[in-house]
Amino acid sequence: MTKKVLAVCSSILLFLMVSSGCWDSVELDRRAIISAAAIDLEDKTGRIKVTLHITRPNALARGTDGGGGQQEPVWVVSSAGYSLQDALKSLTTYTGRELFWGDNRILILGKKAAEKGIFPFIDFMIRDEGPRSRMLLLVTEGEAGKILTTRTEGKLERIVGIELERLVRNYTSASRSVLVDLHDVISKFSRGIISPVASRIELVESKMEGDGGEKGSQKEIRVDGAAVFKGDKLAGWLNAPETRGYLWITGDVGRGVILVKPPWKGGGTTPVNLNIRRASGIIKAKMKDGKPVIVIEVSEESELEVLPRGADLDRPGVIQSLERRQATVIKNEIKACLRKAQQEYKSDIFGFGEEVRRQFPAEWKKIEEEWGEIYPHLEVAVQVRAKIRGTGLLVNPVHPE
Amino acid sequence: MFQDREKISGHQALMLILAGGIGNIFVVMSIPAVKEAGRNGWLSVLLGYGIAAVLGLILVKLGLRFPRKTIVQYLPKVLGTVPGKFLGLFYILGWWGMTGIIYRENAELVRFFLPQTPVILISVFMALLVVYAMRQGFEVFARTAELLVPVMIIFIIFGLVAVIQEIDFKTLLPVLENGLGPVIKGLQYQLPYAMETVLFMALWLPCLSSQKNAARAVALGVPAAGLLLTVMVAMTIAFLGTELASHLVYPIYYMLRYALVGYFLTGLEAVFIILWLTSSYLEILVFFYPGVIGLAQWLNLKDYKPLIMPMAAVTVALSMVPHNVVEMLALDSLKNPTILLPLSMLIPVTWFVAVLRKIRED
Repeated sequence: MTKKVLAVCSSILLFLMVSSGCWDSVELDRRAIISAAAIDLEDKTGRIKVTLHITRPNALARGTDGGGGQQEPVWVVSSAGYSLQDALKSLTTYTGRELFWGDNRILILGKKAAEKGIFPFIDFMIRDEGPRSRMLLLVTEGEAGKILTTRTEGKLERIVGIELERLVRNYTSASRSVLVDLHDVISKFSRGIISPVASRIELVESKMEGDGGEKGSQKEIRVDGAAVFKGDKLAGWLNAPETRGYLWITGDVGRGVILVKPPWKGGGTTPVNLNIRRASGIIKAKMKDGKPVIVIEVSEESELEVLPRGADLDRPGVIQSLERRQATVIKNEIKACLRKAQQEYKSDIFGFGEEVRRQFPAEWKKIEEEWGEIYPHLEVAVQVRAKIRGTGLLVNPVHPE
Repeated sequence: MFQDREKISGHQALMLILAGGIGNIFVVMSIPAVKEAGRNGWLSVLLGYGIAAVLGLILVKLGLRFPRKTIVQYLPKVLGTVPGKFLGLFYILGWWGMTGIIYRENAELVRFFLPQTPVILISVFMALLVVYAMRQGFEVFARTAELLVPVMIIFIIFGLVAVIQEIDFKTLLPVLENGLGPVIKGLQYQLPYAMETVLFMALWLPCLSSQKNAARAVALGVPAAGLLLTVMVAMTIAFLGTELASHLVYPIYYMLRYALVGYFLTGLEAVFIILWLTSSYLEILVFFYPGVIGLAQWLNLKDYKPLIMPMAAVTVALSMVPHNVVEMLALDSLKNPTILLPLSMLIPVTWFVAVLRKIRED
């Protein structure tokens, strides 16, 4: 009997000892939960400056009714060091808590830091056991820390990190930017021939007038366009139409609007709005006279949304002519993107090289070394099949004569 | 002796084969596969398990000649006393040394989560469990395998399904662009991984209550484990690319960490840790049993149980030999061509000699 009691007691004691996490237990109130991070390269000193948003769980819990919610829900801290680790370590000296990366949603890189190469930052994020590779990567043309330190308006979430994550994850609703997380970047490094892109984030000032006529301005965060890397170094930017060109090629266009000029008279300056329903893109490689040629096949379906005056869809050929104009718009976006990526940035962001290797492994071995020189002059044929499938609940518009 | 007192059923035999065949190999195997054969590493795995299945069937044939003896006991009879005893010792010491590596592998991953905790403490706790399970006898181990192996397989499949939507299988093409050479070269690592379970079976085969079930268990278990691991390695390569797949210490852990189920559930690495500790427990016993029982039979002892405690202490001490994780991974790769591959070749050679000399138990 006593033996049994002793056994039970000692096993409970052992369980308590083991389940507490041994030497490494960190209680929740000893953790600083990071919700957003920004990395910059300081101009004069060449040091790495890191800015973090740390969540204040207390301020969140008190609710929005203003009862006790004077505290901001996030605490902005920043520090500099000769490496990312160095900067982070000096941060802990005044946060007094262990930094917890597991809940971090976004990583913003400043232009200078991105131009010098993002590899050391990505390496830290993958190597360290804290951060998750699902973290989104964004690049800004200015200083990344500014985006986190500026008080911005018009947000739905109280934590900027979550707000921004929603913003980027919703990119398909407009197809104006890309969705790239750390895994996309490192797996592209790992595959070798393909270069990554990242979302472009910017701080915009918008003027507003108050009730009493006083003028003010508020700052907003926008995610628009994309940053193009060559290897791990920032090479340049794509604007929104060029970014959609990129998305057409990779087949990642979700929704969005295409504006075309009406093919009939009397429409004025109002364009025809076409709402993208679905789209897909395929990259194919071919060999022509021993040289690789890329064929991009994009097919798209859309629905008519806004029709200007004078529209008569019953007339034969009108829909077809709209479809042709739509295909031209898509083609132009793709061409604009190709021009930037091939001639200006010389960066293979589409995986053309990979496609050549996939389909012509023997030929690829011969041209592998010179791919950097071949790529900018690569012949790319674009084939677009654009269809209009519906017109909503109305066929022709109804307007007063 | 061991095989007279402990009996296992056909179903338990299948589970033991799967336990050794999947073990904790699934965490580390894609690294040498990719290092040797690049994008075609998964072909090495498939080929390795295919060959292992054939060798396993040969072992069953060999075992049927000696239905009451383990490999350590019949080796001197078939190959002559001195070479047989010598090879038996190689078999025992090989497993013995490798157990240390498995202990360390387990501890290194736990250390990743508990960086301040001494590595040896994790191994000691695991050793306590292993000693306890082993003192209860082989039947108990077979029953825990029966319980844990299906859980392990379900967790692995669950993890793979969770990441499948993120994977672009096109990146696996082109297949065999450098010919079969690299794939064959990769076999020196993949065949030994696959043979771990067959070599372990050489020890417990006489425990099987009905010897007829042995061939069925091999023919079912080894290909099933092989297919699961082939799919897993192919997915790892497609998901990570060749470079990352061979540079990550634990590729599967990385994949599960990335997985997102139903747009809200992340942090599947917790599942991975359960999976990891379960599989490590099974794998350590798979490696520990041949060492202990083999030694007892090699020295003609009546009972193997007094050997358990001291040998557990020695293996835990051996696990502290590598200085760091890089050395541990290098040792894990090194053990395959140097210890397991010669042992694998021993099986067809012994069978051939036994058939030639017409040796079978009276």
